[in-house]
Amino acid sequence: MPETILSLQEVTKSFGGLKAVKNVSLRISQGSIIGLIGPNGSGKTTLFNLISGVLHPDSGQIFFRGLRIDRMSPHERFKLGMCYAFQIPRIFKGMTVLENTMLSLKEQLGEKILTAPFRRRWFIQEIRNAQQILPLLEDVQLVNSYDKFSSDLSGGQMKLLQLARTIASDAKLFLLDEPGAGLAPSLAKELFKNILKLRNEKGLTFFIIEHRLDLLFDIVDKVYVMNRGEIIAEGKPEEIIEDPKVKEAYLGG
Amino acid sequence: MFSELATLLSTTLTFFSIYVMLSLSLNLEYGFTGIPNFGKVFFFSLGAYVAGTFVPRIMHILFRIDEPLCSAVASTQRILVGLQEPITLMIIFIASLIFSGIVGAIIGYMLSYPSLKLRGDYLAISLLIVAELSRVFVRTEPNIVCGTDGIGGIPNPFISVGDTLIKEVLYSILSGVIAYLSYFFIQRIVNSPYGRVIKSIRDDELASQLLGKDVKRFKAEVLMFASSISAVAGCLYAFFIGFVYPDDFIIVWTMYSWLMLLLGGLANNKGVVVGALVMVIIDRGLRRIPSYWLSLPFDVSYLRGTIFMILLLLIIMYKPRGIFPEKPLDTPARQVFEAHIKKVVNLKKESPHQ
Repeated sequence: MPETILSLQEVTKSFGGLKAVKNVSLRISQGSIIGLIGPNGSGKTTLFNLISGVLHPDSGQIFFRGLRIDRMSPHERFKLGMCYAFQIPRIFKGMTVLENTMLSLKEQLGEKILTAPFRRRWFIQEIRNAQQILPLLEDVQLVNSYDKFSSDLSGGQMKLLQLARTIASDAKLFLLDEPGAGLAPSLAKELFKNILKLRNEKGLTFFIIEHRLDLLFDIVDKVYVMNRGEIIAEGKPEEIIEDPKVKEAYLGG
Repeated sequence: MFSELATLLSTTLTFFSIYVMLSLSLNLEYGFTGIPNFGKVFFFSLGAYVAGTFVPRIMHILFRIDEPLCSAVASTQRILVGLQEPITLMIIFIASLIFSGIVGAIIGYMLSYPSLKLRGDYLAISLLIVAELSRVFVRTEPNIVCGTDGIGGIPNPFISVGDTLIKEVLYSILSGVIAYLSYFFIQRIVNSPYGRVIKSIRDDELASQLLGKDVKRFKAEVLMFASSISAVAGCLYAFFIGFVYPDDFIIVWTMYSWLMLLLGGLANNKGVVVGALVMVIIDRGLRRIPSYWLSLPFDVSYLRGTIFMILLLLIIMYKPRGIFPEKPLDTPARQVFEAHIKKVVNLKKESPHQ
């Protein structure tokens, strides 16, 4: 049995009277690709926000790589090896494509105020980091626009930039909120193929929200279905499609 | 005629240095990190208050001046002692520069807490109030810089040179060097991975946190560093005019810093220096013009304010990012990409048939 990387126990979050996430428990094992589907407003993104630290749960516990993280701040969770890509890309618009991507690399020596003025202290690391992200930007065809301010990119390119930045973070668990939305069909297909490749080669774990089930179901090991803040079904894609509850709440017909 | 021009130039250089330090530190805070510091004058005044409290007191102890601290006699005696003891005076001057840097850093750190809790406009208003309240507090509290009277007799460190002109020129060069050093360090700090992080905090604080950046730490560091630069500028100002008077530190200083920043360009240090230059030329230049040159219906000193406000309006209307807009950060990573692209282009040139 593979090691558990993330587990949630009875996690609840409400906004005023609305229970956005109700007693959600789940377990994700290392090296798996897990899908999360459900109708709009079913609490999928809220769940991701709880895992990544944007929000704190009202009750329940979240464990990541054996540590309890539900009271940790987002930056501490990132350092433990988790990276979150938003549904609507949140890139840094006043920064260039290159700067955006370089930002997500860990343990940069030049990020300390006392070493930052002394270039010699972090020069070599910076060059290595840049060489490391060069192929990533090549994959999303943004190498030639490395010096462009990211506010000048198109919506799809922003999405790709966010993905490149997420992958560059060297995390163990990736939380991707609708990575395929807003991309051309061929690009989206490519993207999901790359996710599968990354999992197979590096043993990375992906937790993905996606409405494009044709793409998602090709690569996932397991799918969770949410409705009104609760997990109503879990299992392999084939099982999920046949589940009457899922049909009623999400798939329709 | 020559000495008059030299005096004008050295005064201009001193003020230019002080303005550069204020606007650059504001650029670090707002242009790069997005902290709208509308309390700039408070951090500036800290340095002056350090000079106004520390220098007279230490001189009274060291040189056994018995007169009351705030009296005019004591103030004259401090100047006289300064003339006789140039080395001790220089040490006191350097010590108070360092001391004001430290005080600025501590207070900057303390004020980084509200900057984490309050966003945008609310933080701006709060800092504005802090600056105004501190001024009122200092002017009513006689034990800091003698209340409303202010404290005089802070001798220029070069006073023993004798000649007023040489003294001012030396002082302006020294201020210029300190201003250049702050420019140099700020440029180095922003053109590094550190600069990337603070810019990301400015653009999207939450996304920056989700990429592992400890926003609290970065904001605190930026405020510490920028405040200590502002305080050093304040200390330079106090030694330059030789007098610390709380009512000097009114909101106009903050507004001037913002004007220089907006004029030059947000997140562009070179632009900000140009902004400060434009400002200081208008400011100092117009002071030299006698009222009878221009037949104005009002006093010539109001002309500066009018020009500044018109400039500000024009900038906000037509060039909201400043005369010199933001540029990509100059980090070594860019060279890697530049070299890579050149290589690809060359490869294509060499093998046109592929």
